[in-house]
Amino acid sequence: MKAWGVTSTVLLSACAALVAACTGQIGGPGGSLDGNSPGATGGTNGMGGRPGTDPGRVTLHRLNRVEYDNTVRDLFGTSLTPAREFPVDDRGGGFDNMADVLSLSPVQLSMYRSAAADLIEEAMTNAAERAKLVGCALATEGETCARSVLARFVSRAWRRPITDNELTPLMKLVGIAVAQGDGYEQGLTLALEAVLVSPNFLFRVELDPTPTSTTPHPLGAYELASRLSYFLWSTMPDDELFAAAKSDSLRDPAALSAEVRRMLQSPKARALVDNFAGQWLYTRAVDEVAPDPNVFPKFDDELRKAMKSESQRLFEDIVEGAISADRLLTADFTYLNDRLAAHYGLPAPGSDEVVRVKLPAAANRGGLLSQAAFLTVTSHTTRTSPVLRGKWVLGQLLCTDIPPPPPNVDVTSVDQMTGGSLRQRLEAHRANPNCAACHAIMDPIGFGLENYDAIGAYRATDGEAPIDASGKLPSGEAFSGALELERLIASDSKFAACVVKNLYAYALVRQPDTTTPGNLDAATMQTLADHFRKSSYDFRDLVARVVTSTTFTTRRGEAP
Amino acid sequence: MIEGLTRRKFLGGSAVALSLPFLESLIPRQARAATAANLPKRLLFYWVPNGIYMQKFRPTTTGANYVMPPLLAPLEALRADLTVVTGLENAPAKPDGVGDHASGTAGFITCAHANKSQTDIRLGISADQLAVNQIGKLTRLPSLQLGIAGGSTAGDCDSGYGCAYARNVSWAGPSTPLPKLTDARTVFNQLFQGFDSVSSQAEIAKRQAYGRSVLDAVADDANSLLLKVGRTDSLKVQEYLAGIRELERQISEAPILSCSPGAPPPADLDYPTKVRIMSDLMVLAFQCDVTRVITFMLGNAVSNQTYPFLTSNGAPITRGHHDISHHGGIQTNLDMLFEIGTWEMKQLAYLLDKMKNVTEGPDGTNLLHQSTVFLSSDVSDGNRHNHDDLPVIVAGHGGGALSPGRHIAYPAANHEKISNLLLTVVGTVGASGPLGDGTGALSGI
Repeated sequence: MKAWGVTSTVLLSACAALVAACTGQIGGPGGSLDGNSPGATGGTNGMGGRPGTDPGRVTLHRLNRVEYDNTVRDLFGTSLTPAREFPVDDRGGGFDNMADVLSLSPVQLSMYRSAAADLIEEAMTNAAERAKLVGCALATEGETCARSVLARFVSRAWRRPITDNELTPLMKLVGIAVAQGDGYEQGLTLALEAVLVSPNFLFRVELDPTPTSTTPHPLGAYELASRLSYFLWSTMPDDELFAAAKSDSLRDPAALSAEVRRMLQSPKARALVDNFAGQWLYTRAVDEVAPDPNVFPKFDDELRKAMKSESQRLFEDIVEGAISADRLLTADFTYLNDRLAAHYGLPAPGSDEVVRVKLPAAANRGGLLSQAAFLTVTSHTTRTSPVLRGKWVLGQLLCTDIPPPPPNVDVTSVDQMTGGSLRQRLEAHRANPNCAACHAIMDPIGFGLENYDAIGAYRATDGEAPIDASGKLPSGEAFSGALELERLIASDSKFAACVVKNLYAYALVRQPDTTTPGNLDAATMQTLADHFRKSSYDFRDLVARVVTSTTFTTRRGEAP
Repeated sequence: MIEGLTRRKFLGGSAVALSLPFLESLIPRQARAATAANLPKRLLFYWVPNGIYMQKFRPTTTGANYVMPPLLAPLEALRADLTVVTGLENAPAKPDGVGDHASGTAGFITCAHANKSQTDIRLGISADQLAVNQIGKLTRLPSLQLGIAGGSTAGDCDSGYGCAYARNVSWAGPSTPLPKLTDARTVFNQLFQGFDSVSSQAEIAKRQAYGRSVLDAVADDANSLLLKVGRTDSLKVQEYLAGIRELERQISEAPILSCSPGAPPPADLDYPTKVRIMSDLMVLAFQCDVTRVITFMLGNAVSNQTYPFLTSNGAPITRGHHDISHHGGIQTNLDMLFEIGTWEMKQLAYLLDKMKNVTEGPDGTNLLHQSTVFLSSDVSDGNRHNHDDLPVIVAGHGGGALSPGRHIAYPAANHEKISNLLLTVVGTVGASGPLGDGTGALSGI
C-alpha cells in the first residue's frame, strides 16, 4: 500500500502543475500556453521599442521525401517514386519539411545513390524521357552533345545557373567512361548520376555573401524562386519561374505576387492540400485510422478514401481562391460521393467521385468540424473522444496547446464506467478538480460534436442516452453543435492568427522565433493576421503576403 | 519489381537468386577461414513500446534457478541463454514536464536527456554507435536500423518533443538520428545490393572505379559548399560528407557474400507477419555478416498498435496499445497488456531461437552465443511512466563474455544506471563509453 501513497502524491503534484497551466490559459485574452502566439508581443521583442530587423535563419534544407519525388517527376517526367522507399522524414512542429530536423544518414545517402541510378537508367532508355533529356545525337556528336545535355540538365537539377568550372568535373566523368571504352552513353550516365547525388541537388542551397555576418540581405533570385516553388508546389521551379528568376523580376513585390497567383492556379498547388493542410488539419492521418470493425462494420477503404477526398477538395477550393479561408469552417456545401452521402444520411449525388453538393440546413453538415475525416482521426478505435476533439480544435485551429495528461492518470476509466452517455461519464470523471482544470477547457468543445460518432456518422443518441450537443469555448461563449462552433471559431481572431502561424512555419521551413530579441517573426505574423482578417480571409492574398514578407525574401548568416 | 531489378543490375546484383524461395536457401558461411577466437560478435538492441506489465515480468526470485515469471514463459526454453535484469534506472530519460514516451525512447540506449524542442534536436550518441565506432568498418554496413512503422503522418509525436526523439533509438551524434527502415523489401535490398555472382572481376573493378569517381565528384561539390556556408549549415554538409566516406568504403570493399539471401520478401505485410520477417532479416544480416550491429523498434513511441489477432477475456484486442497501457490498475486492461507482452516475448523467443540455430565457426558454436541482445522499453510501467525499475533482458553469451541464465535484481535504492549495463553490452565487442550518464560497465552480467 506504500506504493499507492507514492502514486497519489505524484498524481496530485502533477495535476497541480496542470491546473496552473490551464488556468493561466483561461486568464488573459489571447494568451497562449506556449508563449508562441503571434500578436502578443508585436515586433519589438525587447529592442527598446524599435521594430526588429532579424529575418531569422533557415538551415540548409534537404529535400524531404515528397519534395524529392516531385522534383524528379518534374526533372524527367518519370513516374518512378523512389522516395517512397526512403526512411520517413521526422516531423517537427507538425510539419515534415523543417530544415533543422531533416538530417541525412549514410543509409539515406546510399538510397539516394540507388535512386539516382534507377532514374538515370530510365531517363536514358525510355524514349519519352530521353527526348526530353538528350536533345542531340550522343553517338555522333559525343562530347559536344554531352556538354550541352549536362549544361541544361544541371542548371535545372540544381535550380540555378551553373558555371563552366562546375561543368568541368562532370565532363571529366564523361571522359573516364569514354577512356574505358564504354562510350558517351556510359559517360553521360555517370555524370548525370553525380548531378543527382550532389549536395547541390539534395539540398536547397541558399548562400550568404558573408556566412559569418548577421546583417540581412536579399535572397538571390534563384534562391527565392526555389523557396517559392517548394512552398507552393513542393517541387522545383518550372520554366516560367526560372525565367522570372533570370530576369530578376521577382524582386518587385507586385511581380512576385502575380507569380504567386499564377502558381496557385497550377495543379501543382495541390501540394498545399496534401502537404500543408494534410499535416496541419491531419487529413493525412485518415490513411492510418483503424476503427474497430466490431463496432464500425461499415468502415472500409472506400469510405476512408471518400472522407479524405471531401476534406481535400474543400481545402483545394481555398487554395484556388474559389472560397475564402473561413469557409473551411462555414461552407454550406461539401464534396460527397454516393458512399459518403449514404454515410451522412444525405441523398446520393449519383457519383463514385466526390462532387460538390449544396447542403440543406437540416443536414447538420458543413465545414471541417462536421466532416468525417476530422471526426474520425480525433476518435478512438471504438468510440468518440470529446477530449481529443476539443484538444484538436484548440491546438490546430486556435493554436492553444493543452498539456497532455501527466503520468499516473487513468485515462481509460471512462470506458470502464457504465450507464449514461459518454458525456455524462466524462463529466463524472472530471469530479477530480485537479484534472478538471484542463478537461473543463477541452471537453466542452468536444461535447458539442457528440452528434457525430467515431467515424463521423450522425447520431441522435449515445447508447440509450440522447445526445446533448451543447458546448462551451474557453472564452465562455456557448454553442450547440458543430455548425455553431464553427461560426464562433471562424470569427475568433485567434483562428486567423493560427492559420498564419501554421502557414508561416511551413513556408519558411522553420519554427517561428518569437523570443529572440529583434526577430521579425512575431511582428510579421501579427501583420499577416491583421491583413488576413481585413481581407475577409483571402487565402491567396495571405500566401502572397507571406511570400513578399521580409522574412521570406531575405536571409542572414550566422555568427561563428 | 522493375525498380528492384534495375537497381540490382546497376549495383551488380544477381538476379539468379530471385527464383529461390525467400530465406530458405541459406548456405553456411564459407568464405572466411574462421576460428573460434576470431568469430564475429554481434549486438542487437530491441526496443518495445509503452513499457511492460512489470508484475508479470519480474521474477519473484533471483539467481540461476529463478522461477520464470508468467510474461516470460515463452522464453523458458532459452532460459540458459538470457538474463533478466531488474531494478535499473534511466534518469536522463525523464522528460522536462511531460513527454515520457519520447524522452524515454530517445534515452533508450543513449541514456542522454533530450532537449525538449520540436526542431532543436539535441541528444547524444547511442550505445550501438559506440560499437560501430569499434567494429563498424569490419562489415559492409556499419549498422542497421530497423523498425515496423515509419510513424504517424500528422500531429505532435509526444507532448512537444520533435518526432525525431519518438522514432529513432540510434544516434550517430547529438543531432544525428539514424532513421530506420520499416519496409522488409527495402531492408532486403539494402542488405544485399552489391552482391554479384555473375560479373567478372574486371567488370566489378571497373564498376567500383566508376562509383568512386562519382563519389569523388560529389565530395568535391560538398567540400566547396563547405567553404561557403555558416556554422549550422556546415554540420549538414558534414553529415553528407560522412555519408560519402561511408559509401566510398562500401564500394572499395568487394562485396563478398558467404550466404545466399534468397528472394526478397513481399511488400505490404500485415503487422505480425512483418515482425516475423524483420526478425528473419536480422538473423540473415548477422549470418551473412553484412552488419554486426542492429537496432530494432517494435513500433514508435506512444505506439497505439492494435492486436486484433490476440484475444483477452475472450475478445480480440482492438484498442490501441498506448491507450491500454494507461491501465489505471484495471484488471481487464492489465489482462490485455499481459497478452501483448506475452506476444512480444514470443517474438523475442522466435528471434533468439533462430539465432541459436545458426551454427558458426569450426567448433560449432552458434550465432546467439556470439551475440548480445538487449531488450527494454521507453518506460517501465505504461501507467506510471517511470524511468526506474526498467524491464531488461540481456540475451546471448557475448561470444563468451557474458554468463546468462540468471535473474539479477538491483535494489531500487541503489539507483543503478542502465547506462552501465549498456557499457557492459558494448564491451562485449570491445567498445567503451562515454555513454550518457554511465560511470563504468557493470560486472558480473
